[in-house]
Amino acid sequence: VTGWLLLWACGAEEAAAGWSQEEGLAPILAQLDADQSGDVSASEYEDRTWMSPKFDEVDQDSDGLLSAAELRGLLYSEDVQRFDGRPERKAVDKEEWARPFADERENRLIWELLNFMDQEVAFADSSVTRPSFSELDTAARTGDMDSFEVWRVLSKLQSSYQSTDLTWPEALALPATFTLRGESIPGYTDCMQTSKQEGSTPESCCDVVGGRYLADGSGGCERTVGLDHE
Amino acid sequence: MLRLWRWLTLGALMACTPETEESAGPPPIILVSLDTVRADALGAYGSSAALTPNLDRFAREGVLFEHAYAQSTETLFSHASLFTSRYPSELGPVDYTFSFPDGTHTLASILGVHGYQTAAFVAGGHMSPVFGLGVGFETYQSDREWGSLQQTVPPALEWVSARDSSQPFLLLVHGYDAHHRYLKPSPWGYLFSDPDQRGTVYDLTRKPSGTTRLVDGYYFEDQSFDEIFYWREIRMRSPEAIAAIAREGDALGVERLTPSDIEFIRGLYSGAVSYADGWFGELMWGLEEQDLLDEAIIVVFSDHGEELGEEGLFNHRLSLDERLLHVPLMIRLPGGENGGMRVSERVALLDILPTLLDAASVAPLAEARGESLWGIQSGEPVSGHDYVYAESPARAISAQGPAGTLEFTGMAPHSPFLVSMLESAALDGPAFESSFIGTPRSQARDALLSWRRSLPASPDSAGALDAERRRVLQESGYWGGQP
Repeated sequence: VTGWLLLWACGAEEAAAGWSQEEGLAPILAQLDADQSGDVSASEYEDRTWMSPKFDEVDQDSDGLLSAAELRGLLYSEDVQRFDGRPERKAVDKEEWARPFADERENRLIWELLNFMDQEVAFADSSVTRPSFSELDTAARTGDMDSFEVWRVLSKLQSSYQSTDLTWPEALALPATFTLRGESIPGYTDCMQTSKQEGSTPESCCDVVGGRYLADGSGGCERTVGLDHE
Repeated sequence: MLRLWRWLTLGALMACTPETEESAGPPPIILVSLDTVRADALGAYGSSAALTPNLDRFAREGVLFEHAYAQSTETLFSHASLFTSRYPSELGPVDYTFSFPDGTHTLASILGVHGYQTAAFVAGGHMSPVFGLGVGFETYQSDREWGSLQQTVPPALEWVSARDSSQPFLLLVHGYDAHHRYLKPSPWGYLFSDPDQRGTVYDLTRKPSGTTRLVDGYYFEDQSFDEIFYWREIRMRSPEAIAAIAREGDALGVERLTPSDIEFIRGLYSGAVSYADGWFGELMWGLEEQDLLDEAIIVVFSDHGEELGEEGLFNHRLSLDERLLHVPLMIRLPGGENGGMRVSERVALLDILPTLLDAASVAPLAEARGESLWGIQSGEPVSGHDYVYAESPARAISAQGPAGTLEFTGMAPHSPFLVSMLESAALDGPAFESSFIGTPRSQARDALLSWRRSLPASPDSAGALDAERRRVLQESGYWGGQP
């Protein structure tokens, strides 16, 4: 009974001992100490880290070991929201982005596009490349818009931003023109089917649709268009 | 001889009891909200998954409630309930148009009237000022959406240092450290996961809403749950729903995670909990530096838990089960009095307000649904609740009882038709999800009905969701891609 009472009475002894962050971090160090040597070496630290300060930067006393005090510093060292190395995420108001296309709200691809921007482009990371059609057409997978149409949608959106306060993501900057090739050129396929009957050639069909015949032996036809040449 | 033992015991008590001065005035009160931490994630609750040395020490210095339950599975509604000791649907629609009605009494507003200085340092998201939970707080600071204790502990300690020390204070410190996305700064990030893991799971854990798009291991990268579930009005955990998800996932060629992928996610979560623990240690150290541990009542809790792939579910929006509602709740009395005491009775987060009013010698709030737990100070037994109840914006309510959980789905908690649907729905039908076996299921349904009948009609919605709230919700996948 006395022992129990002693324990009860001393239950708050730990509080009197004071809170020590270094003590609180000891189990974390033990978890990092893979070889259970009692110390955390540079390689043990680096085996469990990514996108974080290099060991040399953390090892303030240059003793080659990670101390509790040095570990505590890491609580402060990184901004949680930037832990993946990307710039801080910018919020995207899809309603605002979609406003220029209010009459196309039922078009599912618009939302795929906006979701894509929300997930990827909103980071405004210069390493993010422009989305390809296959990257965009991932939710509904309808396949009913081609890459030209995607370029056109994005270009319209980009153009509409010039009259707003919104900033178009630099990573999504688009070329002013889009080059259509072969069957994607409106009218080209029809002409080629007709040509079989009337003796027309790919070169003449290319000319009919306003394209440029490639004289490099590929036999291809391409036509470069801008938004004002839809 | 007996007399000698008595003297020895008395001497030991005098020697070991900390020298706490009798406080003349009301005690400082500090609330620490560790968002999304499951009770079973902490060592003090028996976990060996994460490392939580600071919270475990706190448990030894405080009173731990082994069976504490949240009243909702989302931050907004859970905190609204805690701040008022009322159920969310009593206050407004359980959706993202939710706001406190004018004149709502909150813990902060009541204590403010009684001379408390009140301040909250919160990490945005559902706690963002746009959702209106700051009622009654003189200072309500939210500098980062879906942020960490890293952003809230330092300014909170600064505020404590600069406060008027002649007056008591109420302080709330909140962080989303264990909320998705789980990956935290090194070395906590990969403390329990393999840093070399690659594949879909590697990518999704880096996206703000990645793990919210997992169902039964299928990763619906480009579809929010609004799109997957809510539009179809299907019950999340039914075999039919899981089968439908599998069919759709296979048809779309959606990648399914492997068991090691899921372990990877669980490891990240454990690392995130350990990171929160590190910051909690910073807070406690800072409070001790300011000599507050002998004066203050410190309440540590989580607003809800998290699904980590059990029964196919992730996140905390798709059910009202034990993993989401069973939360840590620990109260450290001034000086660590009664440290190490454990309470096994079933309690609710809405008991916190009556408890703290009691502790501050403030008259009870008439409309409070909770009960004071302040008897812990004098070692009195806690009576607890036969059932505790919860509400979800995913159109569900539940009763947690002595033998399990009964969940009723398909109706919004604020629906005026809820009671009649509860009365008429077949207990063995698809609207009920239960871990009960046999008779307790009907008893739990009776308890649910009795509870709902006791609640007033929900206030009407304040209107459409405004753009600012949408922006905050979009940040972490709470608002889908559809208008």
